[in-house]
This record gives sequence, C-alpha cells and structure tokens, in this order.
Amino acid sequence: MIEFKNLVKRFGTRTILKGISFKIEEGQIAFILGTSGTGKSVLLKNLVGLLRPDEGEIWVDGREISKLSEQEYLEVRKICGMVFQQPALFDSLSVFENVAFGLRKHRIVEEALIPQRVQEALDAVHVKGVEQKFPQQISYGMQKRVSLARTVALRPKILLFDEPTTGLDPITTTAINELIQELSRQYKTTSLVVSHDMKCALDIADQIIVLDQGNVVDLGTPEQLKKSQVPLVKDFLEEVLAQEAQSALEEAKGRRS
Amino acid sequence: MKSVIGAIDEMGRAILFLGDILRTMVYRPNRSHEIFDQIWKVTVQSFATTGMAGFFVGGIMAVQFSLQMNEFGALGYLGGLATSGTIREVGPLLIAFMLAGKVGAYTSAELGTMRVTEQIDAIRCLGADPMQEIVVPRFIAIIVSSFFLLGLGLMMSIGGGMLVGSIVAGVNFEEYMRHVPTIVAFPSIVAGLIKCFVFAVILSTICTFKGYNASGGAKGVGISVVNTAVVTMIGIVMTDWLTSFLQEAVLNWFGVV
Amino acid sequence: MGSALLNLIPSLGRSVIQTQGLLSEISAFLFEVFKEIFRPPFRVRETIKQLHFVANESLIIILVCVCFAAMVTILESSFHMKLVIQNDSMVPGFAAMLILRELGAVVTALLLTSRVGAGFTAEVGLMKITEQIDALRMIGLRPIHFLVVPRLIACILGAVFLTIFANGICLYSAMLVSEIYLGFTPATFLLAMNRFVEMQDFWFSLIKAAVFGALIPLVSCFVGFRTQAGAEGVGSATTKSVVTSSIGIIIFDFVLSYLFSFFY
Repeated sequence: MIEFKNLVKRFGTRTILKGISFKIEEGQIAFILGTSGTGKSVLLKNLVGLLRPDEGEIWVDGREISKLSEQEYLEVRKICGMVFQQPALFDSLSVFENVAFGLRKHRIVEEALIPQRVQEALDAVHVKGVEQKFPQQISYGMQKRVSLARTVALRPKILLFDEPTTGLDPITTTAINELIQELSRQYKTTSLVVSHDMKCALDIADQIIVLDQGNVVDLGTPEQLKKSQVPLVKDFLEEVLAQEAQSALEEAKGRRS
Repeated sequence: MKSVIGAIDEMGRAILFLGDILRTMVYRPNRSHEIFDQIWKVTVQSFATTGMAGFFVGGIMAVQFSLQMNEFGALGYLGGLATSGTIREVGPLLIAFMLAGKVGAYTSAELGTMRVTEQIDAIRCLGADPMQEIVVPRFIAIIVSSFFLLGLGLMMSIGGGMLVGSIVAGVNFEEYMRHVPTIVAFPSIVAGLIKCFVFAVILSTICTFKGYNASGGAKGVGISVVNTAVVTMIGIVMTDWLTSFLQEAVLNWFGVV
Repeated sequence: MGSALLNLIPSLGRSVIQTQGLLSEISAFLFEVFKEIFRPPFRVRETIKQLHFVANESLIIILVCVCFAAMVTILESSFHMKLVIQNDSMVPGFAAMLILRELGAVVTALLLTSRVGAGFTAEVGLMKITEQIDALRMIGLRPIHFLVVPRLIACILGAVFLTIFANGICLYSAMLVSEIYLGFTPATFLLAMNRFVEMQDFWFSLIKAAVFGALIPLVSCFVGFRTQAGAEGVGSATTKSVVTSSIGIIIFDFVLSYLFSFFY
C-alpha cells in the first residue's frame, strides 16, 4: 500500500533522512518510532507532499507520487489524511466549519450531505455538542479529537498521525490510542503513526519501524522487535519493560493491602 | 556584507511571493464576500487610530507652518499649503505608517501564528490553497482600505489644521479653506493616490510574506512582527523618495512645474 | 430603537469603568517605575547593554531613512514654494527648520517604536507567558526594577543621541540635495539656516527626543507585562504597543510643538 524506496531528504547541508526504505501493507497499523529530531515528522510530510524528497521514491496505492505537482497532489491528499501534532484547527471557524472544511474543498460530497458526514465524524471521535463552538472555547484534548474528526470526515484510505499523544496526560493518551485503533478498524484504513511512545506501539501496532539518525535501524512486528538485538531498540524496550514491571508491582501491593 | 546579501535575497523572495499572490488572484479568484469581509476588518481596525493621528498631524503642521508664515504675512496660504502637503506627502506616509503598525503587524502575527500552529499545512492537506484562502483576501483588503483611510486621515487633518490654525494663528475656517483649490492641483491629488497605492502594495507584500514564512513558535511570530514593521518603514521611506523624485522629473519633463 | 438606546448607557458605563481601571493601572505602573529609578542597585551594565540594543542596531536604518526624508523635505518644500511665491530661495532655511523641529525627533522616534518598542514588548511578553517574570519575583527581584528601568534609561539616552545624530545627517543630506538639485552652495544653505533656525530649536528637538524616548519603553513594557498566553499573545501585544506608542508620539509631538510655539 505504502512503500518508501531509499528516501533521502536534506535541509541545506544537513541530511535528515539518509535513505529510508520500508513497506506497509493495506489495513496495517504501523508505528514509526525514534527519539526526537530524527526526522519522523519529515518522513510524514514527504508522504503528503508538504515536503519533497531529494532522492528516492514514494509509492502509494501502486502510484509513484514524489514527483507530482501541487495540483496533482490534491488527489493523493484525498486518500491520505494527516493529523498534525498540534490540533491546527482554524481559529476563525466553528468546530462544524472546521470539520466540514476538507469535505468542501475536496468536493467529496454535496453540500446537502455535509451535516451528516460532520456528525458522523464527530461521533466517531466521541465529541458531542460543540459544533457551534470555536476552537479557543474547547479543551486541548477536545481540540485534538476534533482535529482527528476533520481528517476522518474525508474517509481517507490512509491515515497519518504525527505524534498524536505527545504532551498529553496518560488518560487522554490511552483514549487517543484507543481511538486510533477503533478508527482503523471502523474505516478499514491503513494507519501510519509517528511517535516516541514504545509502549503504545507494542500494544496496538501491526508493524513497528525504528528510526535513528535518519536511518531505519530495525523493523518488524512487536514480537519480533521484543527480541531485537539493536542497541537503541533494546534501550527503548528496557524503558517500557521497567515501567510495566513498576506498575505491576504497585498493582500487586495495592491488592495485598 | 553578508547581511546585505541576505537582505537582497529576502527582497527577491518577497517579490517572488508577490508574483505568487498576483498569479493566484488571476487564476483562482476569490469569492467577493471573503474580500469584503477582510476590507471591513482592516478599515474598522485602523479607523480610530488613523482618525486621531490625522487630526493631530494636521495640528502639528498648522503649528509649524503658521509660525513661519506669520513672519512673511502669508497666513492666508496656511490652509492651502497644509492640505497640499498632506495630500501629497504626509497623508500617504501617515496612512502607511499607521497601517504598518497596526494592520501590518496584526496580519503578520496572524499568518505567523497560523504557520507555526500548522494551520497552513492543514489547509493544503484538506485540499485548499492557502494563498487563495488567507493571503489574497488580506492582501487586497489592505490596499483597498488604505484609500478609505487616506480619505479619512485627510479630512481629520484638515479638521485638526483648521482648529489649531484658528487657535494659534487666528486663521478662521473660511480663510483656511480659501486657497486650498489654488494650491492643491490635480497632479498633486494623483501623486498622493499613487503614493498611497505603492505604499499599500509594499506593506501588504511584506507583512503577508513575513507572516506566511514565520518559523519557531511564539518567539518566531514575535520576530516576524518586529521585522515586518521595520522593513516596511524602510521600504516606505525609500519608495517615498523614489516616487517624489520620479514625479518631479516627470512633471519637469512635461514643463508643468 | 429604544432598546439600542437603553443598551447604550450600561455599555457606556462599562467602558468608563474599564477605562478608569486601565488608567489606575497605568498610573500605578508609572509611579512604580518612577520610584524604582532611584533605588539601587543601579544596573549600569544592563543599561549599557540595552543602550547598545537601542542605538547600535537602529543607527544605520535611521540614517538611511533620515537621508531619504531630508531629500523628500527639500523636494516638497521647493515644489510648494515655487507654486506659492515662485521663488525657492527660502527652501534651505525652511527645510532646516522643519528638520530640527519635527523631522529629526519624530522620524527617529517612529523608527525606534517599531524596532525597539516592538522588541521590548516581544521580549517582556515572551517572558510573561513563559512564566519567567513570576520566576524573577520568586528569586526576590522586582520585575520593574530589573526589566523596565534599564530599558527606560537606555531608550531615553539612545533616543537623544540618535536624534542628534539624525539631525546632523539629515541637515547634511539636505545640504547636499540643495546643492545638487536646487543649486544652492553649502555656504548659502548654512546662511539660510542661520537666519531661520534658532538655538531653541536645537534644545526643543532634544526635549522631544527625550520625551519620545521615555514613552516608547514605558508603553512597550506595560503592554508586555499584560500579554495574554498563546502564540497570538505576543503578536497582538507587539501590535498594540507599536500602535499605542506611535499615536502617543504624535500626540505628544503636537502638545510639545504647541507649547514650544510660545517660546518664539
């Protein structure tokens, strides 16, 4: 469904992506992990054409897209929806208008059907009753959900998430993760999630790709990755396993007392 | 030396940006209500400040001129000269400065904020053209409003001049206005309008360019706002001289002056 | 119609109360600043650093702008004089007077507003929303003494120096333009200047510069302290401070010009 072949991206003299290659099958939930600043967001932006690669190819749904014009990229963006790290809701539009925005611009459905689609999308992200409010008037967690609804309303075949849970409290993090899973199942989308949350990846991903310094250092299913010998991955895992052990311990203590 | 090259580079990019704006205006015209919306916003924003500024500047000119003219017994010309000076020079300059400070900074901040909160990227992903959606309406609005505000500023400065003229130099209102038609000739009015237009184009290009290309979070927005105001003022001062000079040359050539 | 009128009174009342609140905040601020100026420690090094910021960066821009302004003044004066009295012999004197009395101080001040004023507001505003101001208080430093006073002193000094410099350059370029464009020799220019310009003009120009130089940091810092959070907060605070300073400069210019006119 999605394939990167030797993607290279430079900014001035710095090479951020040094030849990324991997493949994601249709319907999978794939996580791209790495420490901050290794170019994970850059990878996503190359996929939707916000940035263009210097070398390499990007294949989406059997079509090579890295050399398309901005006009031609509109077709790609119809099937490839991106949820940004920040909610990026338009301050001057109401929640309803925000969610309807992509529908209108891409001309996906006629005007008459828009309220229905908007409602559907808001229901899917479990947000009720704020259609007429403005982004400044709702909480950050809700803004993130609305931003998700805005992308999901387009019913894209591919969903991209740029650090969806970074900076959120644990409860909202779990909620968003569950939402990602739910939406993938409900809309049968292929999901690509950029994150540095290894635990979440181990929980819900079908495939995990680990980036470091602009290279793919390991990839595979969660099971495969748990047995990985790559130092960075082992460090990541240790962290997660330690946390799990800690919370298991506290649970056990709680049960005894 | 480096900063000079950098400045020229910026100028070049700004001109290219202007080209983009014009292209978008021609090939993807906006719905008029978006533009009218923005025109209203800009005019209302600057209405009070322009009016006040015009009034006081008119007063200042009256004070300074009347002191001199008293010596020469040419007080009858006070109104004519003050008004002529305002239409030709002070008016467009004042409007440009006021707009640069308020609207220029505001637009730059608004676009900059949209840029750093990823709203501009979101617009592209949702199938719209950010230039068409948010840049062009503001660009046109600033230019159109500048004429309204020029008219307002002019009227207020005549008012201020009249008032101060009567208090400081005992020039009554009728006397003040008497020589206005004599001194303010058609070429002067045209000159003032041209200046106003040129300043407005420079201002709107710079503030939209800087805002659109802001980077680096809240601090980056602040920096782009400061830069906008400064660059605009320099640009206006230089263009002011250029247009004055060209005007003189043209008029001389036609033997008018 | 009736209800609109009925609403007018409460909303008028509300704005009066708000204005009164704002005015009292402003006067409290000004009072604080005035108190803190005389309290040691006198942070000379910080003041000099701010002075460097005010003067150094702005110098070239001011020079350039002022040169162009001088040229425009000469062009416009000669245009109007030729129109009214068919004779431009008085242009140098008139222009020189205008430069010293208005142009030098005001143009310098307006340029400083956009550069320095906006810069101060952005700085202080950013500190406010990243809670650095609160952190200062926790350490026991008084924000006004720490932030405002050095900037105030630096800006007043800077504005005065820059205005003197600007006046000089402006007169010089006016002289050059008169020579090239109008055919006045430098000697003629200086003579005419002598006739029109008096010693008071020079002092008044400095007083104006000092007043403007005080206005800019006071407004900028006041607005900076009240910045709202969020990415827009800094941007809108900067806008507000630049606009308010600019209007303030114009109003004070008017008042001072009017006052000074009695001394001639």
